[in-house]
Amino acid sequence: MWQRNLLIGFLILVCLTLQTTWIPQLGALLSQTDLIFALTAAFALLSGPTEGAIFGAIVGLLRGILLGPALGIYAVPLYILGYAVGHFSRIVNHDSILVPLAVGSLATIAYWLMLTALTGGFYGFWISGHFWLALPGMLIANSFMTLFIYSLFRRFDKRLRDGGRR
Amino acid sequence: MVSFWRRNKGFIVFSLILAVLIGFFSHTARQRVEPTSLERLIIRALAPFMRASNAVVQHINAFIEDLRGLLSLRARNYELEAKYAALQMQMNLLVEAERENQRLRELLGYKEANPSMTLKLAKVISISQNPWQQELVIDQGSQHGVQVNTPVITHQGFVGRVYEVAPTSSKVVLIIDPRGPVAAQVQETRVRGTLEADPNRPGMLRLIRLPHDANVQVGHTIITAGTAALNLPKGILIGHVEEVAPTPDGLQLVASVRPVVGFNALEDVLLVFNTGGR
Repeated sequence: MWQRNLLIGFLILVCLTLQTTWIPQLGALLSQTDLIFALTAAFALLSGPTEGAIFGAIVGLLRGILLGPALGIYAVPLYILGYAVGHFSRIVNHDSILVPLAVGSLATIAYWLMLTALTGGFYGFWISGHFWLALPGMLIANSFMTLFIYSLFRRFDKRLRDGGRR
Repeated sequence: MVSFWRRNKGFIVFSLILAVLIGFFSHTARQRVEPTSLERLIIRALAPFMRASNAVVQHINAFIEDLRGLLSLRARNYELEAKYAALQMQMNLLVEAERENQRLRELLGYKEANPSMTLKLAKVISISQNPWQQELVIDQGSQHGVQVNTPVITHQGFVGRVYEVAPTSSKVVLIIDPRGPVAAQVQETRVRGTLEADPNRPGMLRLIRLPHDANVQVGHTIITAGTAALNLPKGILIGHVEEVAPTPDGLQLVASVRPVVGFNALEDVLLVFNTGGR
């Protein structure tokens, strides 16, 4: 179990640092990637609502400390997201590649909806067209990043289980 | 009450935490001027990782920039190489034109210096040089008035004579060909002899049938002696004596002659139509 926690801690650290240093410098599509979001969605999908929600709250708070204008700005949406995706994970087939992709896409919209609502620019944001221009890139980047991290988690879990059996 | 709690425990806890987070958010959003001690601690703990990550990213970006620069440099290099090749070709053409110009000037100068001779310019189409066949083909033929035995010269000296004529081209046998002996004489002493290709030294000539007491010395100039049968004008430079030796029987002398014309580099020649009484 400690190995899993170590991996999670490592991934949080990597995602936080990359999100603040590397991702903004990438090209048009890749700069829309939200690693923290993808990490939360993937973790919640694999772990369930309680762990997902706690995970979302922690990484959201950390991100808020490092980047956000207010502490809970990322924590609230990621917390809700972790909880919702965790519930969703109970009713889906985990072997399907479409599940993380669909979760990544739908949760991205929900995530941004909550973020804009919290920052107060709810109506202006939708009307300005910025969201609609960025949306395709965000959907693609976040979906595939969710799929990637989810696969990574699953593979690691499987390896841990196999190791435990031996 | 207990059963309600049990049934909705998860949701109630979720809602409570959510409320706390929202409260947290609304509190920090309004009044935050400085981070709290806990925040400072977290930022300080994460700062080294972020600095390291940033340094790595900077290096990666610099590498990618270098790579892009290299690729664009390569493309530019190809472009410049193509331009260079085109310019080189143009320069070669210019050099070639200049050389041709120079040659034609020299031939024209020769023509002007010999107004009594009727000369016509001909271009060398091909050259065949081997020990058995030293000849060239020119672009002037019977249509242009060329006949068999028409002498061929350059501004340097005697080249040979036409031996076969087609309507638009002619074959010229060079003086260094075994088929083309001509009458020649030493300019300084007027001693006459027959000049032929030296079979032992390709590209060289030898003046034979010289009396054993003939005054022929190394460095003497050999010119054409003028032969009516070959329509060959007199006094055209052929070469210089390099060596004089008696024949094996000792009755005559043989002079080895180096021709002045560079037969390998012939491109334009002059056809002599009227010797002008020479």
